[in-house]
Amino acid sequence: MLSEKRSDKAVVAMAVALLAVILVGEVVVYTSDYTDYSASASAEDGVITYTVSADGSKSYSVVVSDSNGYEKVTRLYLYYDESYASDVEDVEADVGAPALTQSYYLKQLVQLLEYRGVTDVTYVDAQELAEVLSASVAAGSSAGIGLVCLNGALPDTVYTGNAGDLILTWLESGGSLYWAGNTIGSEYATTEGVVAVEGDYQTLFLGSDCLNTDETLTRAYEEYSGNAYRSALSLSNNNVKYGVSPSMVTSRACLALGYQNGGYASIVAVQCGSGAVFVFGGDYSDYQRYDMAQVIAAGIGPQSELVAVDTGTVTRGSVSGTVEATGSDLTAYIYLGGYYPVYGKHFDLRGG
Amino acid sequence: MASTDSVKRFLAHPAVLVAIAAIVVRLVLMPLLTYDYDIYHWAQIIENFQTGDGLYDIDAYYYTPTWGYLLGFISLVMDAFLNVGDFGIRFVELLPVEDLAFRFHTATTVTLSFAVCMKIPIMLADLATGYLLYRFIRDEFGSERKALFGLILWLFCPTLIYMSGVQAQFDSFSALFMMLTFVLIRNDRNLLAGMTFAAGVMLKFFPAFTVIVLVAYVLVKHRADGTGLRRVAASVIGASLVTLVMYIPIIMSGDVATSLSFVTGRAGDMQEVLLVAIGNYIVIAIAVAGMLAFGWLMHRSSPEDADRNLLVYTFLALSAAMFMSATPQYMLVMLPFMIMVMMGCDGRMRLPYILICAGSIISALANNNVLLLDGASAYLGLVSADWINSVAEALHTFVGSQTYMGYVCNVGQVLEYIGFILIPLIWYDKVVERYSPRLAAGLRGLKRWDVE
Repeated sequence: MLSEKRSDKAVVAMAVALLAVILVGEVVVYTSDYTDYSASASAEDGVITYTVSADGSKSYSVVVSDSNGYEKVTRLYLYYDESYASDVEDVEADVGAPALTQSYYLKQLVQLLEYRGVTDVTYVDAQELAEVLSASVAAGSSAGIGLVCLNGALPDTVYTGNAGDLILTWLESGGSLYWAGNTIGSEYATTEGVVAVEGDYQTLFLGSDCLNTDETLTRAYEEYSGNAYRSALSLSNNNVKYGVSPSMVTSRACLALGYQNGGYASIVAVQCGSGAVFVFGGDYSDYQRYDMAQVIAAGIGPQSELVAVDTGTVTRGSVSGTVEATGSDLTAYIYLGGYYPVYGKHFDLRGG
Repeated sequence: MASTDSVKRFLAHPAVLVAIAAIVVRLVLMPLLTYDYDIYHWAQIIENFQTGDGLYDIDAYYYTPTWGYLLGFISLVMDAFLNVGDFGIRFVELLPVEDLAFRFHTATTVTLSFAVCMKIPIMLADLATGYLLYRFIRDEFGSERKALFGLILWLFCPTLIYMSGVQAQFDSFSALFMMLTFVLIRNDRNLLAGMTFAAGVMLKFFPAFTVIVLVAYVLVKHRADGTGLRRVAASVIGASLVTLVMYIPIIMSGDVATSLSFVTGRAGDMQEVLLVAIGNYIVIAIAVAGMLAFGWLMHRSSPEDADRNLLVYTFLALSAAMFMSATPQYMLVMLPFMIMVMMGCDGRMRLPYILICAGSIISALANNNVLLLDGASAYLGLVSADWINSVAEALHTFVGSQTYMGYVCNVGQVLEYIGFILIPLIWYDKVVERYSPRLAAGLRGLKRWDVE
């Protein structure tokens, strides 16, 4: 009888302990956030001093670039208009995973950007897009303003395949366009459907014919060899479908990063006037979305050069370090968590 | 001195030696072999809630919340005591594996320390379930030998070792919740049993198919004292309380539908091909019929047989639910009950046990094969990524409509289904005799594993 009682007590204790573990875990899940981490950086006499801190244990990366005049996007617009046609491929989702639609992609992108320090994000429909682009062109400079378009076709309020279209004027004035999901510029969207562009749309956006239009040329198995940004930023998407070949971009500044296949890179930033066009290869994917958030938050542009990278691990406290770096427009992007980032912050170190 | 002696006696106990051996086997496997597709999602889920995005805001978590909350606790321990700064890398040399015919492979390779952190809690669930199983067999059937053999059958089931030591799938926790519910309800701990049952159902839904058996047991057992309904009500309150506590944040964030998406997603997949859809509806019908029939039989039991029948009908209801999918890990929730029935009621369950264990491990290894060495290649350099790529490509070459590994996986699944079918045939061999005396004779002649 005594043994039975003891056995019962052990079972009750086990059950209570397990339920308590779940309850504590629930509290952890809903009380944790990126404010558990922080980072700071400053520069003086060619030495960058940084500090990172974390409540737990996280790897960190300090990615120092010379932006060579490119201004990081601080205000970001996301184009989304259900009344306009779109042209993107459906992608297969895991069992139970919500379909990766344009709206779901954008919603998640906003959240990925938030903990990377990009919080001034606004959705615009086709009409509002034309208004905000016109306003920034009229203001004389669109530097620091970004636009994400995942629709596969820009709306006819800003683009109809002509050199004088508003989107191109806006890019000339310094805007940054982040593009994924289709061949850039090959179509424009109306409320009735998408319309193929007859002219040389590649030259309009990229200055030359440099796009991957072979839809069978997709997965890359090697990283882009021209710089070390892929590992520095923990970039993951290895698809070059719809991508740009950096070697075929002529007479414009161009930065390729990520992975490469057949000369095409998974991410390419091409200068367009004072602005930039960023082309992310592949159909929609989680990896593509991570990379887009990382590139936007890191503040790199077509002229950026990787100057230095410092990595380490911070465990329940703070770690400080220094990096020697010289350049005209130094910036640092510090992020924690490596390929599973939980925090990111960009620092403008010009003048340091 | 006395305490040293008691520690020595404890460590020399056969059950403890079995447990230690089980731990050693798993600890050896943990860093060497890992199935990265599931576990990289666990890393992603932890990243998501560490950034403040809960379980469902960013794509990665498709289940009801229990496993997510367990990950919450594991991450708390990691943050408080360990130094796991990196969860994984994109192993560039292994990118070709993402284009294999079996698409659930990834070059995103978790670090060895992260893999071990995910696997140890699952191993602890194996041990806790083993403890409950051992105590139950020993106390109920009065045999230390049976209890020890049952413990060995549990802890050394190759699929269980694989799930906690290699794949890091959390079905060991399903088995633990189901065992806890079973023991608690027998001990009249109805409120707590309701709580563990609800938590178990919100881990993976298979325990839900035992609900009628469990309710009927309480009513039958307490028919004489008239407290059955009150006790069932206590269980319902317990289950509701846990469900509410676990679901409050999910309701508030409007993610209830998303939290059920793994179940609804499976249902959605079923619509695509008519024959597949029909087949899936048939196996669901078997599971539901099993739930209803064994619940009804439980309800018809006499109070004297209630305890024994609870074991048998819980096992049979779970075995009927297994027809829905021969995914290797799913059968683990049923396995302790199969072992207890084998040890105490019918040793002929040996054959289904062998078939189901063999079939499930064959399927698991066929699907994942050399790709289990991803981490060993990335972090230990034991094999080259080129070798993994070339062997994996050869194994995933199509021959007719399937790859080599697809055929092997099918063989494993067929073995499992034969095992599932044999369970009711063996148990109801007297009914079988009416229709096929030869088959019944064959079933009666099956070898036993009951340590009599």
